[in-house]
Amino acid sequence: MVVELIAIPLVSAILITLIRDERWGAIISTSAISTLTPYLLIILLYCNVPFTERFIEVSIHGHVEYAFILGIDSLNVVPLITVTTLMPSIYLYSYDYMKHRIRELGEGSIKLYYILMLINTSGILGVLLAHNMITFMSFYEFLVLTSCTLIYFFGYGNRGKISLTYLAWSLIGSLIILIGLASIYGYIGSFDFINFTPSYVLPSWVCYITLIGFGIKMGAVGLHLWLPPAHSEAPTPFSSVLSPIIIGLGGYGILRVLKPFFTCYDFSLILLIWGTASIIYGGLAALIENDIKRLLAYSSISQVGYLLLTLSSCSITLSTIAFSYHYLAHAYAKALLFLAAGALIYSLNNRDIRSIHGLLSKHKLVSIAFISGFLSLAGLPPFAGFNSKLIVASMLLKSSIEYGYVEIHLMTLFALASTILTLLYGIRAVRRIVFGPPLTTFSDDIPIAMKLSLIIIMMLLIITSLVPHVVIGSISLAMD
Amino acid sequence: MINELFTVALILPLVAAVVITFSRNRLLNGLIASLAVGSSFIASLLILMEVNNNGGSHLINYLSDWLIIPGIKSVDISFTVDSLNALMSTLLYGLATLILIYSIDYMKGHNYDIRRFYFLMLMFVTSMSVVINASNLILMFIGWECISICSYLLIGYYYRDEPEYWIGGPEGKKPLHPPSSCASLVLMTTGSADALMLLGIITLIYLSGSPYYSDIINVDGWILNSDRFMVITSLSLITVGIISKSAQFPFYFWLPYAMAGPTPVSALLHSATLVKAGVYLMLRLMPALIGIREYYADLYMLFYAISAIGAISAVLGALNAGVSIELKRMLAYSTISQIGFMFIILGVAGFSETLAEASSAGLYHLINHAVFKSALFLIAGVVIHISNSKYLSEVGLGLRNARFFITTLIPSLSLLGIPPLLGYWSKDFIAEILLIFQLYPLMVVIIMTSFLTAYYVTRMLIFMFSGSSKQIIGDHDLSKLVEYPIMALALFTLIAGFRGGDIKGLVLNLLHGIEIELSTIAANPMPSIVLLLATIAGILACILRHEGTLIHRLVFNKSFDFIIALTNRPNKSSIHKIIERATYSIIGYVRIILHSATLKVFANKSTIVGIINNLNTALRDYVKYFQSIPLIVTIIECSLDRLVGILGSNAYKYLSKLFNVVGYADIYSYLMTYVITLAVLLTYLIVAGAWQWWWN
Repeated sequence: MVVELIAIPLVSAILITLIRDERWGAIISTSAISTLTPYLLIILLYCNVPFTERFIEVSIHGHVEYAFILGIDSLNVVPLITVTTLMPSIYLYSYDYMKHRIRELGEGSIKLYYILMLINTSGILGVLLAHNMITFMSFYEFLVLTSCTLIYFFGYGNRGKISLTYLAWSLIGSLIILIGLASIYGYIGSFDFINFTPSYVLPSWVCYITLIGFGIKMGAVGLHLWLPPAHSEAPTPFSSVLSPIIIGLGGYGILRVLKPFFTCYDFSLILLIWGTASIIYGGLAALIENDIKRLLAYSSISQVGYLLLTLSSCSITLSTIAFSYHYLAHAYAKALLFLAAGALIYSLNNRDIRSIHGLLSKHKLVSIAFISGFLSLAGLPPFAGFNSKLIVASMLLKSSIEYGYVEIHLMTLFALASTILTLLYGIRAVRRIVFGPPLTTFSDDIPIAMKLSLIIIMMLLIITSLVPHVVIGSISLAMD
Repeated sequence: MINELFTVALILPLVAAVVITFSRNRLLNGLIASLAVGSSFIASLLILMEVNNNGGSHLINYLSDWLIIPGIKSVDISFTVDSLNALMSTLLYGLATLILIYSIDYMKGHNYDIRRFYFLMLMFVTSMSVVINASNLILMFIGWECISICSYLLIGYYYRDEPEYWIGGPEGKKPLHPPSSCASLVLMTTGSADALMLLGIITLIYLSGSPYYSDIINVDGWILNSDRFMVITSLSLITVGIISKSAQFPFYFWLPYAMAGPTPVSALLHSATLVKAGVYLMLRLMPALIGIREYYADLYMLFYAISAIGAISAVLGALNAGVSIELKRMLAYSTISQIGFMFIILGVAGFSETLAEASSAGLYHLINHAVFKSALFLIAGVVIHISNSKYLSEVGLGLRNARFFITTLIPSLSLLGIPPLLGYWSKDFIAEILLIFQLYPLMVVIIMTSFLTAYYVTRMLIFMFSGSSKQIIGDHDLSKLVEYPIMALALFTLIAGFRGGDIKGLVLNLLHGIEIELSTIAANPMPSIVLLLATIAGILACILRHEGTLIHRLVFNKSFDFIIALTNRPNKSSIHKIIERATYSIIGYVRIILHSATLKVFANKSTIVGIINNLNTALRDYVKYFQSIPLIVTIIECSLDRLVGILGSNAYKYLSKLFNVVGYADIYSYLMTYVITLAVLLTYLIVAGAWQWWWN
């Protein structure tokens, strides 16, 4: 039943190869992606979640060693909703922007872009749906390869070198995760996530090595060197997938694979310190960065810190709720900001915020998108970021109050006080870009499709902030 | 009945905000907005009457289980209506109606989209209403942050940063600030403090197990299960948010920058309602704080701190207002000073035993100040518009328009605390409570502030109405829509002032159900006499300072020149001072001896006048003598002067760099704001931890 979520993008990717007209390619892929949201909603409303599906079973001596298992449960329901609701706007946005980009480059085709994007999307959905570590890893490789290719073909700057760096880092990360997962298999004798329960006690080095692997995938501080160039030089619509959604998958991996084996105190402290370092490093770097897309990339490092913080809670339920909400809020806000930055680049061909001012006089919608995106990141209502900040803060404080570790409580307060940094770089960027006398070099108009996608994401930001009971309700629905 | 009325009052501004986006007509938009808020005002007035008659609090629930956080009661979208809420809502809607009517004509003549102004103003009114009426802390905080955003966008209303909208200056002497920088600074300051406040709120909610005021106030139910350190931490963090929102001492510097917005915004947000949100929240949490105080005595420290912060802000604000050269910034400093009064009395409510009276006094002053300060801001808008300058020294209007002069005089005198007007009653109430509890240091602060207030208000009036009549009001002919709201506020100040005692009783009765006899309130004339004396002294001091004024020329002739010479003594270099004092000391010896001798000799001969003359000269010489005798002391003093001067000016440069954040420095100041906030938090945590360790 859920395999269609992966199949729809893949099938439409094959379909596009058969069509000659580029415009129809865009239309088909966008509409195919748009069907994912209603389909997922139907599954959630009319089926008994949580459930799993098994397709291919490989048995050795009558014992099932491997099965292609997909499923929906409380851990992945909100990330799934996020991806399926966000993707249509990004696809809608891509056509005009990529046409512009390809004209600029003088080579490449939109069809190729859409095919790669579709495979990438099915990879994301596959990682989220997988309930088996081999399935999980194979979809992850799908995703990495297509991302790398997208940067290679359509990126900015020194795109060949950057895409190779990205590939190398990702493959090393995958390798380390693979070692970790293999060791976990060695200890518990199963590939299925359903068997990953706290009853098994793993040696700590297995957990640490897997954590490092996922840390590379997330771009947490210390392992983030590939992130700023890759995220800032990717084609902008793809940046808005890469930055919030794909690096969030690393955190999802920790939640899915490692969280059951955590010994509370040690890992909490490690994640808390790592997360705080990430928040502060990313925030400070974003504060002094002048390239708008690099600023957003550093901001992603900072936001990854919050994802690590949410994972540091001792209770898996609290972690799940906080992680899901922050994943959602960050994805919407960051995608909105990247798309707005894309509109800015489309209109001005300039990324240096020192030389941009007066956007509000020329492009009101893009300016409003910038303001709401940054306010949401900083956690101000009426945007989803506020609920996310509220929930993350309350989960962390609750877990530290309940378990009574004073140093964790103090660290938590310190980490959460660093949200101020988000506010500061957001306000700085908004003041530089949006306010001031208008530049004369702004191009006259931005295509309607790009505007529409900005509007849709802004609506999503506001609506999700108004209905936290629905979002959290869907998590508790998917619990047993 | 209350349910329906409340829903109407809450929803109408929101509906109007949506409706006005369809039309670009300034008049139509303004009418729709004022009508909607006016209807809300009538509804809230009806609610106030209902609550006044029947009392009690009503819970209005719109949506249950809106936000479910494990471990605590789920958050509903629900509102409480009780007397405090009803009073605050009525004030909010009433002022908002008048100010929106004023802005119909005031906001014309610039090429910005007027819809944005009305949309944001109406959103602000709704959010403020949520802050006031919310039944739980989470919903309150949502409104709290929304008013921050509205304030940010309204201060940055002139987003193209044309030079005529910049504040600061004059050019070349002091830094100028574009509206966008000011907006950023304001959101940075209040937003940072709000982030800390959210942590405090969440901790408090977890400790009490419920976000509802009604449960938090029931302190006995949860206090025993909770950790003392966490309770104090959460309350301190909430206090940080409160004092930053109300522009009190360490965070006060944002309010003058907020004056970059249009004048109606300054009148509604930055004098009457937004900056009072902190005071309101303090009033709301006061029963809980008092309850917690019974268990943890170190909460007294918090109350002392609040009083001290209020006192510092009161004096600092008044001092700054006295030297401010821009009209609107002067009024902003005055607002800081007046809110300081409220915090002084709220602290007193905490650490003395007069919760009811003291918090009523705070609320009473809040209401009065909101009325006359928004009137003053609206007047300032007119004055700035007519004289086309924001500097006090350039806004002379002359006395041609007597009606306008009287309209200005009434709120100004109310700010001074002249008897029959509203301001007198609340200031007197505060002073009276301080005197009853023998809080003399705070009393001294109040007297000092009254003196300074009189000084700067007189200065403002002199600048506004003396001068060379450069502009004549008749030329610009005040529009009725601009003039009538101001007159309405002035009339309210005057008429309600005559019934001030009754209103005082009404506020007390509404808040705490205490029937107070008027005779006991007015029994002690001492505080009012002292305050009046201070005020008169302030007025006189100001008139003396301003040589050029007409009154000065009429009242004083040449014989008083020496006073002016004393007050306006030109600066002299240190060496010069030393030489001068050394000379005085030598001459002093000689003259004192001579005078003593002449006094003795001619005592019986001379007239009384002669004696007094001689005495005068002798005394003056004595004074000079005692000032100058120890030459070494003088030298040390002078070098100290120099040292302090150097250090002080450097510190000032550093501080101004720090606080004029967005003006010229950029990244480093942002970083400094962050570092300072974190440092304050960390210091607090360390100190509080050490305190707790020591306590145990």
